[in-house]
Parts: sequence; structure tokens; C-alpha cells
Amino acid sequence: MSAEPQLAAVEPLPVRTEADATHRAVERYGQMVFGVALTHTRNRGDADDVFQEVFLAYHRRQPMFNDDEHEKAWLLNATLKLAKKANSTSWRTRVVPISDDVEVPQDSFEFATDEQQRVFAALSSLPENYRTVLHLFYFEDQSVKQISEMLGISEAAAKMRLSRGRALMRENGGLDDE
Amino acid sequence: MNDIFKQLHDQMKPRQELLDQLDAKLKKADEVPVHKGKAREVFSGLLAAACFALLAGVVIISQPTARTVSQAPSEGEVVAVQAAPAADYAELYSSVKSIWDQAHRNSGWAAPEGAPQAMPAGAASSEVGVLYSGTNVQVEGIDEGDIVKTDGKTIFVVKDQQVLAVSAEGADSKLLSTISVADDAKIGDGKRLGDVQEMMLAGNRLVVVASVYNPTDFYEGENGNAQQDYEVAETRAYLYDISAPNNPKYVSEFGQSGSYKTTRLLGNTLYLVTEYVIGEEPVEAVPESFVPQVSTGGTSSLMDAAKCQVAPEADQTAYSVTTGIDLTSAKRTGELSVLGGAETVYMSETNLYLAKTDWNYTATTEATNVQLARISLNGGVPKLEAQAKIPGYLLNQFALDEYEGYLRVATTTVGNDVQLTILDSSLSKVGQIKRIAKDEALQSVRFMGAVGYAVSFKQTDPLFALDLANPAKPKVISELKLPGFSSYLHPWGDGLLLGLGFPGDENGTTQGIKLSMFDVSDPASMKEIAQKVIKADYSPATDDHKAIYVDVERSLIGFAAGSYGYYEGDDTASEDYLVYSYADGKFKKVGEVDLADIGETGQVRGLQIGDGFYVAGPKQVGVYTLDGLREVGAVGLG
Repeated sequence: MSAEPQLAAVEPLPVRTEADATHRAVERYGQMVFGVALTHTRNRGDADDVFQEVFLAYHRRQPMFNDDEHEKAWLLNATLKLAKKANSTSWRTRVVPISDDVEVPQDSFEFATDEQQRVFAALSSLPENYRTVLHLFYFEDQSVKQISEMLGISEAAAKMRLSRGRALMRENGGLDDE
Repeated sequence: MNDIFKQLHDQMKPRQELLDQLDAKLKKADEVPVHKGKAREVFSGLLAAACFALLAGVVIISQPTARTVSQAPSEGEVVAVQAAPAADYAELYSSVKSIWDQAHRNSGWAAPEGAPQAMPAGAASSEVGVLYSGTNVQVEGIDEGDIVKTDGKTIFVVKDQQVLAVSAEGADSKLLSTISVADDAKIGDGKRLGDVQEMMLAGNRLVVVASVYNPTDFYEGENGNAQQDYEVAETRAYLYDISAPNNPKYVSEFGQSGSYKTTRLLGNTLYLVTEYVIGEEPVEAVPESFVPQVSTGGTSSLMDAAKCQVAPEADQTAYSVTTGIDLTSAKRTGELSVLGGAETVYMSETNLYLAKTDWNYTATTEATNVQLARISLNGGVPKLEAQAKIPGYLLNQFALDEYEGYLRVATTTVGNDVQLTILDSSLSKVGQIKRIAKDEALQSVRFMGAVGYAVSFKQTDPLFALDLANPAKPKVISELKLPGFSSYLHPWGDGLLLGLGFPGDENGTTQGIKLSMFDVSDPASMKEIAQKVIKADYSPATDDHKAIYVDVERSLIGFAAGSYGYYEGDDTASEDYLVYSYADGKFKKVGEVDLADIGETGQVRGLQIGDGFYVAGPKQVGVYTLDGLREVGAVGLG
């Protein structure tokens, strides 16, 4: 495969010189991207890396969107994939806690109170499928229908994951009985 | 949003420094001239990685199917590739280093999409006269490691760092002994033993697999105390002589670099497969930093360079490590490592196949390929014979099947076409069905000799029958559309096929677990002749074949399942082990066992031994009647 023809084809593409659209996206969706990155990588260092990579990709690609939901879904899926990549390559997650008496240091994210820390720990210890759904439901106020559309799963599957995730959170002491 | 989540949400924000950093990078990115080759010099560190990714993204806009840089052909071709043994450590080092450099600059990555193991239970064994069900395995005669094992007399159950032996004597069943691996293992200073992962049982030998962890750095915690980190160093098979199950004797231990993937047993030879990821930059003067090691009795040595092969298109610094161990003589029979990793493992009677999905994702495109290796196993000596690259990704080990010298591989391409490819022993393509289904993903597949069955899913569940008699001309025979889909297929004698999966309606899947019986006696005209939707929210059976008890002879199917109060409010959570029978075109519930005292759904297994049914988990082994599942005894495991 020769790279040259591709380069030739690429050169005429306009290089964007202003970052307004990206800045707007960072303002609107920055907290979602960072939050999802954090609950999926469980540490600040990787979350920071993912956050930057998502918006740099967004900036360079300048994707076309039909509407805000589409843009949000694109950013969400990019974040999930990049978080997965970070998890597969990061030393931070190769480190395995193997005993209760050994604290897991990691580059952990500190919340203000122990209770908050505990809820976050319970959330971030859920299997990824559940974690994503709970994150969107609780932090992003997305409806089950919106979640199913963003993740490309059925509503029933979204409900099932939400239900199971909530139960697991309860088991892990991260959610009070309501 | 309730209060606690609101509080968390308010804190989960990018810091100002991060926003500033991003801003600087955005500006820089705008200045990058779009010339390949320049990028690496312009930036350093993380920035280089990010920007290189962006450049790759731009390149791909003009040619959506091409992969970046010098790697790999584009998706769509099956390519057989030559394996290369390393001549010495220096050569191995240069291979590892170049992949390392590439991976730490490149945007493409490999995300291990868990390779769920899946498989049919219940080749019944009858060695001592008592009939019992073994682990539900993919290939009859090749056992797979699991968390519960039995020989029909004793049940071995994994519990943390221990294995508990319980006699299978119906109401008189009792705890015979406890194996504490930590007491026998030669771990070494500072290292730690992890929990037991799986076991294998062969005659009077029990193999217990657990990983050993190395201490890494000390960190200063928030409270100022030093905290210790660990990372997996090697995985070991601990051999025990269980001739007297009330007094198991430690025999020896065999270790190898990497985290545990799987074990297989053929005859008396155990195959242990691990994946060794190089996480720190390799240093040429320190072979330990890039050469896999094997250990015997706690003493480690580096693998010979000649035993280390480099997959030509490896893109991650991860090795698969495969060793053979003769359980009778307690000696290692062979060893092999292949730089390129392993995530899905399938073993036939003559070959071990290792597959790794190479996910190549950029913001604009994905070109995903399966890297496949055929490893022959003559006399317990693994030897790399052929490698290939196939477009798409694998569902699980059932997507690979060897038949009459040909390997059949079912994949889902990134474009969501379900494909079937037939390869010869050199892993060169001899036949292919390019598109079994369009815009759907493979959900389950089972090869049964000259016929294969595949289930794909988008809105409904087409079950496809495939004619594979002529490897050069595989074809789809028929298709049966149903709501929902089966995630596991199991041959059920006499022209029937059992499906276990998810129910559905015209809009997709719905809540519950569905059992289906298909009449496939005429593959050209398949019919669903029975179905049962079970009210449950989840079950390990939908993605782990070893969690399923399938007993065709007794017409029984068992698995654990859990239910939660559906959605908000209602909280009638329960976890049960369910047993169903199939007869006369109907599934009927035989009984259920509450798992509260036994273990979580993913930790328990159902076993038939003699006329009893046992549900074994880390807290208890329950004993029940085969008909009706009435409790006759229980052995608490503490």
C-alpha cells in the first residue's frame, strides 16, 4: 500500500485555522466527556488523556451532525472507545489490587466526602455496560429511549442494564435503598 | 438526579489546566502542516500521539478503507502470513521495540473486547460407573478449565485462594479437604498470590491455576502513608495429587509470564495459555523486560529466542505464551510464545488456534482484523505453523472450528456483515461466504461437521443453516427469522438444536431469557418447535458456555439466573439456579434452587452425579434430587 496517493488527495483539504466549533463543543459537552472518561478509566490521568484525544479528534475531523443528539452520541461513542483503548494500554489499569488490606492508589480522583467517594467507587466498579447506562441516566439525565439510541441498543436492553446496574450498586453499598 | 449523584456530577469536571492544555493543542493542531512524516518531529510525547492520530484521521478521509502507515492490508482481504522465529534476543528486542514505538505513537489500538468463552456442557463421563456431567466444553474430549470440577466422586470448588473438595455422596456429602494454594506455592519475596482462577482435573491430578503478582512502585497516599501497587507477573499451574481427596498432596508448580487466558486438557497433557503484555519500555540490556519467562517449582528462566516468534503484523507488545505440561510425569513438554497476543483460544485435537482482534479505530474509520495463529501440538510441543489475518472480529471461541483439515471462521466485519471463511492448514483462504447477513452482528455460531448454524441479530433473529461440505463453496442453505436471538447453540441429538438467548418482539429484544428448540432435521426448512421465555434479568449462561449444564441424554438444561425488581421501585431481587426439561415439544421447569446461600450467579455450577443434582458455589454445595430439585443435603463451605 503506497501512502503517496493518499497524501496527494489529502493536501487540498482546507486546514481549519480557528477552533470555535471545537470550543463550543467543549463548553457544551466537556463535562459529559470528562465524566464518562472518568467513570470508565477510574483515574484522572487517563481521563485527562481521553478528554484531550476526543476533542482533538473532533477538531481535526470536523464531523457533520444532523442535530445535537447526533453530536452528543458521536462524542459519547468516541469517549467510550478511547477510554477502552486507555484501559487496554494504561499501566494504571494493569495494576491489580489483590487483597483488601492493600489500598489501590492509582492516580485516583478525590471527591469531597467519603460517601461520594464510595458511590463513585461502586459506580466505577460496575461492568462497563452497566456503568455507561447508569452514567448517562444519573449524570446526564438521559431517558432510557435516549440512552438506547446513543448506545445503539434496544430500550429493553437499556432498561435491563439500568435495573441490574442499580441493583449491583446497591449490593456494593453505593446506592441507598429507595 | 438524586442528591448524591448531583454532588458527584458537580465535581467531575475537567480542570482548568486541562482545558488550557487542550486549547494549546488545538492551536498547535491547526498549525500542523498535513504532511506525513513531519508530524513525529514536530511534537513530542502525548501531543505527538494525539496529533499523529489526527493526521491519520485526515489521511483516511480521502480513502475510507485504507489503514494508516505501513501496517497491514486494508480490511476485506484474508491474508496468510509467514511466522518468524527470533534468531536471538537482540532480534527479538528490535521487534518488540519497534512495535512498542509504533504503539506509543500510533492512534490505532487494540481494545481487548473480552473474548467470552462459550460452550456446551455435559459430555457425560462414566469412568467409574457413576455417570456425571463434566464442564460444558466446545470440543468433545478436550476439557476446559473451570471454577467447579468433578470426577463423579469428588466435587472441587474454587473459593478465593483455596479449593474445597466435597464428596458427592447425596445426603451424606461432606467437606473432605481444603487446599490452600498459598501454603504450598513458592511465591518469592514481596510477591503475592492472587485468587484461584480455574482448575483442571485429570485422573488423580488436580491443576489449580492462580496468578502471582509483583510489587511495583510505592506511592504516597492521600493520608501520607506508603501504599503498594501490584501487577500480574506470571500465571502458575499448581499440581496436586488427589488420589486421596481427603488428603491432597502438592506435587509441583509451573509458571509462565502473563495473565491467565485458558487451560485445555487433551489426554494427560495440559495446555496453559497466558497473555504477557509488556507495559514498560523494553531495555535491550535487560532481557527480562521483553522476553517471556517460564518457571518450574518457583524458579524462573527466560524462554529461548528460538521459542519466541514474532507475528509479522503484531501491533501491540503483547505475547501469547503457550506451554504443554504432562500431568502424569509432572514435566513441561514444550513452550512457545508469539508476539502478537491472544484473546480467543480454540483447540482441536491436533491444533491450538489463537486469535487476537486488532481494533484499528480512528475518528473516521475502523479497520478491524483478526490475527490468527495455528499452533500444532504434536506430543505436547506447541509449534507455530501458520498465521493469517482475517477482516472483522470474532464473537468467541465457537467462531472457530476445525473439520477435516480445514478451519472455519465466522466473523462480523466492521461494516456489520456476517462472514464465513474457510482456510486450509496454511491458513490460506479456500472458500468464503462474504455476506451471510447484512447490517447485523453475529450473536452465536455452532459448527456441526459439514453443517454450521449461525445467528445474527438486528431486530429479529435469523438462524442460518450453512452447507460447509465443500470447503471451496460454502453456502447458506436457509434462514429462519424469529424475534430475539440465541446467544448459545447446542446440538440436541436427532436433528434438534437448542438455543439459549434473549426473547424479543418486532422492535428488538425484550426482558427475559429464552430457550428455543429448533428442528434442523431438514436444514433447508428449519422450524422452531418449542420455546420458553423465562422471567429473569440476566444470566451468565448468555455469554459463558461453561455456566450452562446441558444433558441431552436426560433432556435437562440448567443455568443460574437473576432477577431484580424491574426498573424503579419494585425490589424483589433474587438469584436462582434453574433447571428445565425438554420433552414432547415442550420446555418444562423441573425446579429452582435459591442461590443466596451458595454463591453469585457467575460463581456457581450445576452438576449431575449419579441420581443427584449438585449446585456448587463458594459458600455451599447443595444436593438435590434430579427430578423436582428437592433438597436432600447441603455442605457449607464457610
